[in-house]
Amino acid sequence: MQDDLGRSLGGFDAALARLWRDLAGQPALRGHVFAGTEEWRALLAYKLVPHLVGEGCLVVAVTGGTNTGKSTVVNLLVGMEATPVRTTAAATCRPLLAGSPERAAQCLQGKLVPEFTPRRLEDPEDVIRFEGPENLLYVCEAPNLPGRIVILDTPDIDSIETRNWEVANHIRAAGDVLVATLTPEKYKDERVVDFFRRAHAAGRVVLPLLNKANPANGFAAGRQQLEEFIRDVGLESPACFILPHDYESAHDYARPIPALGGGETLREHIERLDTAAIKRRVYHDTVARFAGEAESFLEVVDETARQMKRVVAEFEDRARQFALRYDPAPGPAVGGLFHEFVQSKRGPVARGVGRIGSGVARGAASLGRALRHAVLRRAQLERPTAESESDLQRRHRESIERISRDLATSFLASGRNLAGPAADMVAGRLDALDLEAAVKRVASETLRCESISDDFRRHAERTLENWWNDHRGKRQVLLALDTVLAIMPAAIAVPISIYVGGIGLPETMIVAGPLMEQFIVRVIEYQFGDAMFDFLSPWRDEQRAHLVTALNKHLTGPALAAVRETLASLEGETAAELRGWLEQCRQAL
Amino acid sequence: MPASLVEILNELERIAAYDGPWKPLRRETRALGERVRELVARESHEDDVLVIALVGGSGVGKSTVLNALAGDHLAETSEFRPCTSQPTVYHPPGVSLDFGAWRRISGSALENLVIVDTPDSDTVVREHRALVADVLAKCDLIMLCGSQEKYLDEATWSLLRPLQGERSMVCVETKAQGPESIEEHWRARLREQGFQIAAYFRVNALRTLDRKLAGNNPGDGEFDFPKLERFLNNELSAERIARIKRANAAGLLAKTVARLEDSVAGLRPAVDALNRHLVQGDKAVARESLGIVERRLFTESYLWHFALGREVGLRAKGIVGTLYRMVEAVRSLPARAAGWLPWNLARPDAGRRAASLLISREVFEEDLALASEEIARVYRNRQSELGFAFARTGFDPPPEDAGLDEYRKELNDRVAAVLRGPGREDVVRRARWLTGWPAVIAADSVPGFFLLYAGYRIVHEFFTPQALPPGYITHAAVVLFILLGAELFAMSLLARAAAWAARTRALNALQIALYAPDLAFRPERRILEDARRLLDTVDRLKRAIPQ
Repeated sequence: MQDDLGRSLGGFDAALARLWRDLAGQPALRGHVFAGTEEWRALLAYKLVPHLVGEGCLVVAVTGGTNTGKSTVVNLLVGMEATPVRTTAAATCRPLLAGSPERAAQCLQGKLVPEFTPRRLEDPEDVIRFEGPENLLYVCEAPNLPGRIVILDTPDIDSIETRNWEVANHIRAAGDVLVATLTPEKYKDERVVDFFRRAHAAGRVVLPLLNKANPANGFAAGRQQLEEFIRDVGLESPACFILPHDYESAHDYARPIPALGGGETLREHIERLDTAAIKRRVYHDTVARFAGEAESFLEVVDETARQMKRVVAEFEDRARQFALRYDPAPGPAVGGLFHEFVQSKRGPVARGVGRIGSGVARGAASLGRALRHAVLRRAQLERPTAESESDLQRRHRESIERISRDLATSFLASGRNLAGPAADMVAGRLDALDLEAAVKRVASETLRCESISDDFRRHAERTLENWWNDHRGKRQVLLALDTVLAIMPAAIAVPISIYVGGIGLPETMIVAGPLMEQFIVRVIEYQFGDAMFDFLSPWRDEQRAHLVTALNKHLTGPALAAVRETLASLEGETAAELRGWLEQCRQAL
Repeated sequence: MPASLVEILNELERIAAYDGPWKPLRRETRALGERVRELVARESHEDDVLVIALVGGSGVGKSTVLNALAGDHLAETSEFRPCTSQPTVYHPPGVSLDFGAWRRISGSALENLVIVDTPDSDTVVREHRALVADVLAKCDLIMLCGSQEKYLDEATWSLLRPLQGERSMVCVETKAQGPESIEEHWRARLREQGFQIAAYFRVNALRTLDRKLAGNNPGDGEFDFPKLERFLNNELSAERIARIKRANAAGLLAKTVARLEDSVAGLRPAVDALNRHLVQGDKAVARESLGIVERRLFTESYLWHFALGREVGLRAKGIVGTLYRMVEAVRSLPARAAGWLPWNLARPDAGRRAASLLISREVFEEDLALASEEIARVYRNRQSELGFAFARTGFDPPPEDAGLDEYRKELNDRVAAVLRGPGREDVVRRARWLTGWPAVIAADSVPGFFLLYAGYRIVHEFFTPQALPPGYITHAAVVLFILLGAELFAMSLLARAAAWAARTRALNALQIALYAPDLAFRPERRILEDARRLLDTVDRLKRAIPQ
C-alpha cells in the first residue's frame, strides 16, 4: 500500500512540476491557477516526497512569532548555545537543524530533508545573515540529542521580513512536532494563531509553550492565555509548557523547560513521544489533506480551462458576426448572366439566327445610346463613372481590411475587459500582432482570384447548371421563350422587308429589336429569376465563409494563440495524468 | 486655504471626474476621487486640535501609555489579549469632534491635543484592524508604540505603509527595562522602509502610572516619559500643530499628485504617437477625398465652360458678344431645360449644384452635397485604422460612423468655399476680361470695318454711274458671315481656355483647402485633446507642488 501511495505521490509531484513548467510563459495565469496552493505544494515537496526517500525520525520544529524566544527554546532543548539569541526582532532568518552527529551527517548528505540545501554551520552568526541560496538549511551537531529526534530552529512567521514567512512555511511542512513558542503579547495574534491552526489541520502535533510568562499566582494568567490559544487553534488537550520571565538565567541552557502542571519537561515529553505513531498519523493526515487540496486545485484548473474555452468560443463567434458585414457583389457586367446562360443552351439553328439578330440589336442599341448621349450631354453636368473590375477588387479589398481591423479593435477592447488571466494573454498577443500585415493576408486570402465578377460567374454557372439539370419543365419554357427571342428580330425583319421592299427596315429594327429583346429578357427574369436564381446569396455565403476562415487564421488565431496553448496544457495529458495519480492516491489511502 | 491650493484641488477634482473613453486614466480616477475628498475634508477642517493616535500591536502597552499620560486608570489594561476593543478618545473639555460611537473621556489637561487609544492591529479579532485604520484616517500624528517583543510586526506595519508621508510619526518604546534598547534597530528598519520619525521616546509607562497614582514626584526608572510629557505639553504648540497639519496635507497632496503622475506619465508618448497617427489619417483622407472631388467635379470641363459661358453671356456686348450670347443661350438650353423638368434628367446632381455655386447669381439656390458612398468608404477605411490604434493605446474605440457627418459637412463646406470664393471669382474675372471693352473693340473692329467698307461701297456706287458688280451684296454677306463665324469660334476657344485655366486654379485652391488641418476625425481629435489637456494639467500640478 505504501508503495502505491509513494508511486502515485511521486507521479503527481512530477506531473505538477511539468504543469508548472508548461505555464511558465504565462506568469499571470500560473499565479491564478496555483493561487493558494503554496501550502499543500510545500506539504508535497517538503513532507510527502521526502518521507518516501528519507529514513523516519521525528522532526521537532520550534516556531512562533518574531522575538518570542524561539532560539532560546532551541538552545534549552539542545542543552547548549546552538543558535545565537538576539534581543532584536526577526534576527534568525535561516533555519537551523540540530541533531545527533549521525543525523547531522545524514542530513548533510541530503537524505533527511531533501528539499533544503544543507550546509554545515561553521559560524553560529550565519543563521542571522540572509546569504546564499533561498532554501539553505544550516546543520549543527548536538551530541546530547538522541538519534531519533532532530530539532529545527526557524525564522519568524509574522515580522515585516516576509521572506522569513516562506521559510517558516516550509519548515511547518517538514516538521512532525511543532513547538508553538508564545508570549503573553503574542498568543492571540492572528498570524500566529492561523499558522498553528493550519499546522494542526495538517496533522502536526502542536505543543504550546508560553515564554516570558508572568509567574504570579502560579502562572494563573499564563494558564488562561494558553487555554485561549488552545481554543483558538482548536487543539485537543495538548501538553503545555511554560517559561517564566527570567533575565538572570537567560544564558543558562542547562535548565529544563517545565510543563505547566508539573511533570515531565518538554525534552522528556518529546523523547517519550511515539515516533512511529506520530509519523503514521502525520503522514496519513498530510496525504488526506493533500488529496483534498489537490482535488480543489484540479477543480480550479478545470474552471480556468472552461473560462478559456468560453473566451475562444466568444471570439470565434465574433469573427463570424463581423464576417456578416462583408457584402460582396459582382460588377454590373454580370447582370445578363442568366440570359447568357439560357442562350448558351440554344440549338445550332437558334444560335445562328440569334447571333445575327442580337448583333443587329447591339449595333442599334449603341447607336441609340450615342444619340441619347449627344442630346443629353449638356444637361448632365456629372457623368456617372463606370466601375472597372480593378475598382471593384479594390473596393472589396478595402471592405475586408476594414472588417478585419474593426474585428481586431473589438478583440482588443474586449480583451482588456476579460476577467482573469485571459485578459493579459489576449491583449498581450494583440499588442504584439502586426495588424497591417495580418489584414493584408486576410484580404488576399479571401479574394482568391483576380476578378470578382469572374469568380461570381463561375459560381453562378455551377449553380445554374445544377438547376438546369434538376428542372425539366421550367427548362422547356425557358428554351421556348428564348427561341422566340432569338428569332424575333428575323421574324419582324423578314415580313417587313418583303412588304416594303427593304425601305425603312433598319429604322424598324433599331426601335423594335432592343425593345423586344428587353421585353422578353424581363419576362424570363421576372418569371424565374426571383424564385430560382437567388444564386447571389450562396455565393455571398461562400465568400463570407472564406473571410471567416481567413479571419480565424490571421486574427482570431494569433489573438488566441496563448489561450489555446495554455488550454492545451490545462486540458492535455498532464492534467489527465494529475487526475490519474490523484485517483490512485485516494485508492491507496 | 490658499488660493493656489483651491485651484489645485479644483483641478484634481476635474481629473477625478473624468469619465471619458481613456481606460488607463479612468482606472485612476476613483482612487483619486477618494484622495481629493480626504484632502478637501482636511483642508476645510479649520480647528487647531491635533488628533494623536496610539497605535501598535496587541499588548505593547498603548493603553498604559494613555493611562500614564492621564495619571489615572482611564483605559482598561490587562494581561489578556486583546484588551481594548473600542477606541478611547481622551480630550480636553470643550472640544467637539466627530468620533461617532467611540468612547470619549473629557478632562485632559493637554491643551489642543486629542489622544485616541486604539485597539490592537494584529489579533484574531479582525474588526479591530478596521477600527485602527479608521482612527489612522482621522488622526494627524501617529504615536507608534512597540515593545522589545513586538515592534517589527507586519500586521501593524502594513497599516502604516499606505500613510507614509501623510502623517507625522513618533515612536514610543514601551516596557523599557534595562539598558538594552531597540531604538537603533527599530529606527533603522523604519528608515529602510521610508518612514520618517519626528521623535523617539523610551518609556516605562507602568512605573510612571504607579508613581502618579501614589502622588510622588518624577523619579528614576521612568526613562523618557517626562520628555514625552514635555513634548506633548510644550512642544506641540498651536503653531507646531498647524505646521504638522499642513505638512500632513502637503504630504497627502504631493503623494496624490505623484501617484497620478506615475500612472499617467508613461501615457504621453502613446498619446503623441496617436496624434501623429491622427494627422496622417487626416492627410490620407484629404488626399483621397481630393481625388474623389477631382474625379467627380473637376473633370467635367463643360461645368466650368457652362459657368463661364453664363458669366460671359450676362456681360456680353457688341456685335460678336451679342451673337455669342445668343449661341450660348441655345447651347445651354438642354442644361436649363433639365432644371425646368419635374424629374431630374441629370441623375447625380452634385455637379449641377457645384455649377450653381460657380455662378454669381444663385440659379439653383441649393447647397453642395457630396454624399457619395465613395466618400463614406474612404472615411470608414481610415477610421478603422485609427480605431485600432486607439484601442491599442487603451481608449475605448469611438462608435462607428461617429464623425462621418461632421466630416461630410466640413468637406462640403470647404469645397463650397473654394467654388464660391476663388473659383467663382476667377470665372467672373475671366468673363469680365473676355467681355471688356478692349476685347469687344478688338472683336467688333473687323466686322465693323468690313460693314463700314461695304456700306461705303454701296453708297458710293449709288452716286456714281458705275454699278456694283452683280451679287456684291450676297458676296459681302457671305464674307461677313465667315468673319463673324471665325470670331465666334475664336471666342469660344478663348472661353474654353479661360474655363480650363479657372478650373486648374480652383483645383490648386481646393488642394490647399483640403490639406488644411482638422478636416476629418473630429470625435477622435476631441478625445485626444481631452487626454492631452489632462496630461498637461497633471504636469502643471506636479510643477506647482513643491516636492
